[in-house]
Amino acid sequence: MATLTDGLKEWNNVSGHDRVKRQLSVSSDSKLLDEDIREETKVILRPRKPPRPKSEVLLNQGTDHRRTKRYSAFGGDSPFGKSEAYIKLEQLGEGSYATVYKGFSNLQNQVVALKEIRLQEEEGAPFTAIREASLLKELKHANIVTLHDIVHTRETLTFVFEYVHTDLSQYLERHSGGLDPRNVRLFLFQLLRGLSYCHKRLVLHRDVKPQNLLISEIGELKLADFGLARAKSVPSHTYSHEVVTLWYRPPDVLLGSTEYSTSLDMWGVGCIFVEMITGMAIFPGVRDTYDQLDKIFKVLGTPTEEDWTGVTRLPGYKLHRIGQYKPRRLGLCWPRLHDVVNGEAMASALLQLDPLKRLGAEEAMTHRYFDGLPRKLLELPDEVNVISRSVDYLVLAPIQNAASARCSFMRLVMGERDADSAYTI
Amino acid sequence: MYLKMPGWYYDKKELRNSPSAQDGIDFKTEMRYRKEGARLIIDTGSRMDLGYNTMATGVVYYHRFYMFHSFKQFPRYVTACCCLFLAGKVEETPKKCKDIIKTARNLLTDHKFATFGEDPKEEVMTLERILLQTIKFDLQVEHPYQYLLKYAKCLKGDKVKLQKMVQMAWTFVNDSLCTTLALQWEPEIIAVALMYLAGKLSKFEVVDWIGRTAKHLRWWDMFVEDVTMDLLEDICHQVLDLYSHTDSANTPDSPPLQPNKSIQQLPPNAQRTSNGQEKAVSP
Repeated sequence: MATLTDGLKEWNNVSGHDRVKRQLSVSSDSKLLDEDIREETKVILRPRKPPRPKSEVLLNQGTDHRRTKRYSAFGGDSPFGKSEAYIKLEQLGEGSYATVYKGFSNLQNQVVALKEIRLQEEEGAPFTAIREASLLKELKHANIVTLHDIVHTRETLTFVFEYVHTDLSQYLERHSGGLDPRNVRLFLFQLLRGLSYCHKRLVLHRDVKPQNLLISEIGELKLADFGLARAKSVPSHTYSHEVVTLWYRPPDVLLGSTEYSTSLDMWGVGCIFVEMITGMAIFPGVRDTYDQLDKIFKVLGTPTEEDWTGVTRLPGYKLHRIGQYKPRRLGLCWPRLHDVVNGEAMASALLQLDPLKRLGAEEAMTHRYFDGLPRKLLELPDEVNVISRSVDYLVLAPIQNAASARCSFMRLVMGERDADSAYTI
Repeated sequence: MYLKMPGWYYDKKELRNSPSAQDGIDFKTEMRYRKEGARLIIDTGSRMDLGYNTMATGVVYYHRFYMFHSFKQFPRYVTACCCLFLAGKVEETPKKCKDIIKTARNLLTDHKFATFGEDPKEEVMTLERILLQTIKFDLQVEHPYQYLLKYAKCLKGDKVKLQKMVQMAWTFVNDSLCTTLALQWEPEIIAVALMYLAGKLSKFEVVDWIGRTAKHLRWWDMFVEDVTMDLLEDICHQVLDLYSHTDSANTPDSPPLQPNKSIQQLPPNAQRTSNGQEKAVSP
């Protein structure tokens, strides 16, 4: 290893000084520059990133500088980040490490979702919460739930999210027997769009399941619950010690592989795709990892070294615990896949046992299964929604909810509005 | 709005007008405080076998924190421990708060440790909340290391020399954490500058690289646009300044960084990665 002192000696030689001179300016130290570069050196603005914003501390100079340190540390005069700004309403559910409440924001005069995380007395803010906040701050996409604010008190850490009225799990329950294939296609496209955005940023969601896919009244789908995102391991228990469902977990992870990649999320996408079509979870394991694997292998066949290189070397690959099955055609297991053009092909591309063969999110968006959708959808800016109330690409419009009918109506508009294409979901 | 991304880069004038400066701390002293805090994070992290990324992330939090607060109000070693504590959580290498304090205590004199007060753990835990508020939950930080490795893969030439150069650049990146460079320039630019410096010092001249086009004058033109030589030189000098400061007379209570010391205390992971470099470097 080259030591720095060696380096410094050489540096001295290079610069021709006895000692390293402090703050040599380039212009005075031409030896550092090769003559050819010198000629080429131009002062150019660096357009790679937009101009840097002034730091807040300097913009606010002099105003809250004299206040107490705690005061300014906690946001000073900003109304955000304060618990008084929000009213807690009824509980909506238990997340993986928190309780979620419906709430009202006095700042924005709108309904919000408050995700309240209890702080651990011993170790402060749980790292799942910290990671979720820091990831969500960077993920700005129409198919990812928006984080509005963070309220941090001594006992709790509360994330203020946009309120989305239901999730895919509840939605599937309400519309039992499977969803309309056209809506399945729109939901799947949105799910892929959100995931593709995450995957491009090397963020893995790791807990893709219907409960974590929020569905708005107009049919927007938004990925939520990034508490496990990019974690180095796939957890078996939630913060509240509930067991994490194995239903959407890929076979490679079930077999003990720890080489997590974006393919991890894509298995769950495949499961959810078929579940939306059939209305039933496709691999509802009941006991443990091996029961879960058994459910999968019964359909897709038990993998061998020939069709999945390296599978026999995975720690969980134990012949005495794994049943031997031949692969079946997905269309035979779930005949409704045949009702959808290219539905079986899409399902099969996603539900590949070998993670390397599994379709990626971005590729999946151009799969022939989506041929019926306008190509323009692929070019939408990140923040723009696929589903919109305006006459854009696709409109999923809720028509007056009849007193008893909880269902929304979707109208698919491609290019022009076509009242006949309205259908129920 | 609260969750708006703040800019985390500052120009030199802004650095000289920091909250500590406004609080009456002179620039040189502030730079020493920054260096000492960064050192403590690196030394504590190394002793606890934390990875170089965790330590670097902690140091970046530390520097950012003092762009909003004065060293007079928040004692540097408590902040340093808190930054390492938080970085551990973010980088998924969590360490217990009490263990970090224990390790830091062994590295500090009693006099310095006194700033932790009667209940050191409570002090650090309380600060976590202030730290999170200050850095606004902007916790994902990139470091020059990954870029160093990425760039090295593209360079052609004598493998042993290249290896030596990368190792030296790696050391410079470690040491650059004791400067405010991370508050001034993106990690890509720092990586380019310190590889340039290491190339000069190890006499490894890059003449060809993978992906070279007619437009490229220098290898880094492939990765960063319009970086002037003035800028690269300025970055190099900020790191070199660390080794030339010998004003220990003014700072009896905190010896300055010794060049030798800084090399010996390369985090073990850094060495490991650099050794594992052979594969990465050879195309």
